[in-house]
Amino acid sequence: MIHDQLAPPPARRPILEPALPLINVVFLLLIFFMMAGQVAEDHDVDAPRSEVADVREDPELRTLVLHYDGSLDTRTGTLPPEELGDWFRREPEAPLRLLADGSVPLEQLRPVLAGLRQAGADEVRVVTRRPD
Amino acid sequence: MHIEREQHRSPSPGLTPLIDVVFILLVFFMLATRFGEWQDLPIQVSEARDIDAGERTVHRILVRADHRVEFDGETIPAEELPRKLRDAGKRDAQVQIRGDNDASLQQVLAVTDRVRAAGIVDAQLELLP
Repeated sequence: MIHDQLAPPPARRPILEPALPLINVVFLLLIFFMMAGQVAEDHDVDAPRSEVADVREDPELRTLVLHYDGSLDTRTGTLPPEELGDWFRREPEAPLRLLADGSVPLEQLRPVLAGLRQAGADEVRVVTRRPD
Repeated sequence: MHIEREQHRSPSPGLTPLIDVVFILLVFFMLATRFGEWQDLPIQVSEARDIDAGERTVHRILVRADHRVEFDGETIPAEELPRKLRDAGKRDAQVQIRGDNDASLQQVLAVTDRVRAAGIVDAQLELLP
């Protein structure tokens, strides 16, 4: 008798109730991916793996991207090699990150570093990632 | 005029588009996210560099594209590099690492990893000629 009084009325269940746990999980997954990861900028550049690199990345710094075919990219678009010096001298004091594909031969990397040296750069931060 | 009120509305009509949008956002973040931190390796490119080793021993390593390295002029497989460095004995030695034109950035960094793993603190990476 008492049990009957305490039991919830069976007819008033909301229609969406079976889907609510699913929605909760999807929300949690969404929040996890938003918090735990960073949106990748360049899918076609495979950063070299290295254990010796020890400077924490700062995504706010300006980044120069060197593709496998030797072409250069900045956030604003493709950068012709002859404009590298001018591009660097716009902010000569700011640290510069170089995201080069790991399979880039040194033959293609050297002109870029030499161009930066000519423009007055002291240090370039090569972007690496931890070995798998 | 008699307007009949709708009696059979769903109790939460606004939820379905929300769920659609959340699913789309979820798929976007799953595809576009990269995990794992990237680390930067500072490399000196200025000409006025002080790589004077003083009284210390200097070893020179040339990384080649065929997974072999020249250690002080002697060609050896890259895997033997840590043993060579240990045999050389001096942990305070300076190691200067250069690469062939055909060697990739990954190969040069892998050799640098091996040199550091052998206990050498002062490994200089020379990417410019």
